[in-house]
Amino acid sequence: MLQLITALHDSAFSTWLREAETVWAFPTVLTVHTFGMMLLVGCAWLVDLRLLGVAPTIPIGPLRPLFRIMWVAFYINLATGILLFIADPERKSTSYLFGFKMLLIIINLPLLKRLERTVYGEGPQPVRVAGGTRQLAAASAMLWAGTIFAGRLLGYM
Amino acid sequence: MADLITPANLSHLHLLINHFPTVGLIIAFLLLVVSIVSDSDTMKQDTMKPTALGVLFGIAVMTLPVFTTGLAAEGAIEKMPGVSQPAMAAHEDAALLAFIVLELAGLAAWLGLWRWRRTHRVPPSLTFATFVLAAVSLGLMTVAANIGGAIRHPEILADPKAQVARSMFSVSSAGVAFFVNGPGHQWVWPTLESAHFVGMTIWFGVLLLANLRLMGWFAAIPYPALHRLLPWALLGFGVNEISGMMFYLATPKGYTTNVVFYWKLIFLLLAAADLLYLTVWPAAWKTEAGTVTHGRERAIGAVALASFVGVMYCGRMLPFLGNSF
Repeated sequence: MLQLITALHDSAFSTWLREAETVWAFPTVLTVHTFGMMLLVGCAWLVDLRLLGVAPTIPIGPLRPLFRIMWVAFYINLATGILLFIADPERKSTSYLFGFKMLLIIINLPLLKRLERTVYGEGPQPVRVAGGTRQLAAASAMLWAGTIFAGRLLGYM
Repeated sequence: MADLITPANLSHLHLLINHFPTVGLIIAFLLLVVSIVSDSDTMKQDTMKPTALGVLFGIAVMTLPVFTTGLAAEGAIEKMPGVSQPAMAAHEDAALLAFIVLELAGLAAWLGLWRWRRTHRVPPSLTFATFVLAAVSLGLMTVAANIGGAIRHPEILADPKAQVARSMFSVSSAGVAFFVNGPGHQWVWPTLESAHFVGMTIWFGVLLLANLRLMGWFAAIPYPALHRLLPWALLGFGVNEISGMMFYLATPKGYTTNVVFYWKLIFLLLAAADLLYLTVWPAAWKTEAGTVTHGRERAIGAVALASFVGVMYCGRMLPFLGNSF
């Protein structure tokens, strides 16, 4: 495993991503990752806020397209996230903070799926949200905040 | 555009736009006073008061580049003969307090506008808060401007022997810098960065959905229902203004010498203008479920969303483009 990480670190692609004197390597990957975060978590928080009872006159069913945006953004960030890992595999693979961030995302994905099913089950009329769904939305929103903090702090480790 | 960052230009820019928080604030304040004392209901509720609040919010936002070009001007002229460093520090600290109070006035004005759009009435408590905060910031701004004028014109000092005019009403920017960057405070900057990302994300989410609705998507949602989300955008704006100003005060030269930072400010002003548009635009408020929108709203939304991405791009790329850090 360790050899694999070292080989990855020393590969030409990893070295280029990490060290190339161009904004098109690491800086651009990082910026696209930030863009994906803004889209994914921005839309997720909108859904969470509504399910938590903010802006109760917004009908929930019509919010469905937000999930399409979220999944596109999720895959953008999966791809750019893999690139960011490739650029710095030795430190990322041994970092507890990185592991913590991945854990938060892995816990959050099924919650997001559950929230998606809830929203898809709603119609065009504004309705009150069940207590269980509220708790789910609150948990998911906080996991996203934790993910942003963990990801941002990774830059300082 | 990088060629434009010369000492003469940066000082000139500050001298040009510093009239927003001084002259502009006087105008906004007078509009507010007239709308309060007027006995015409139309002026009170429909025309002048929302105008005064909107202008005040705009002045509060415009003061952000005024403050930041101030430190750029300082960096540009600090080595010139006859320029006193203590005089500039006194101006900066007085301006920082005036700026903080003006931002609070802008916050109260925005909340008043938001409530006005929903209920056709500005709550008296918000009118009062805006009036008091605007009056205090006007006083503080006058003091700050006076000290600033004396940097290059010591002849206007009341006591010419004093060399430097000081104000007891000030906030130490060196103190803020110490909090952010001082020894043992290594946790502050990363924490502020994380908060900055959270603020950006919530602001963007609200801005995205509200603009997309006005551009024709999410047609089943009545716009007034989305209007209820706007305070969350303002919350993100506030978190980011506070965290952003703390970065800036800690390492001003990392920003003022980088052209990307000025692009970020321009995009930021456009994004803030979009927030005002989403708050008060009459056609937006009338957008019910199923209402079709016009090309105008599409164009505004496209510019606003692109501007917000521009803010993010310039901020994230700041360490990589240009010469900061």
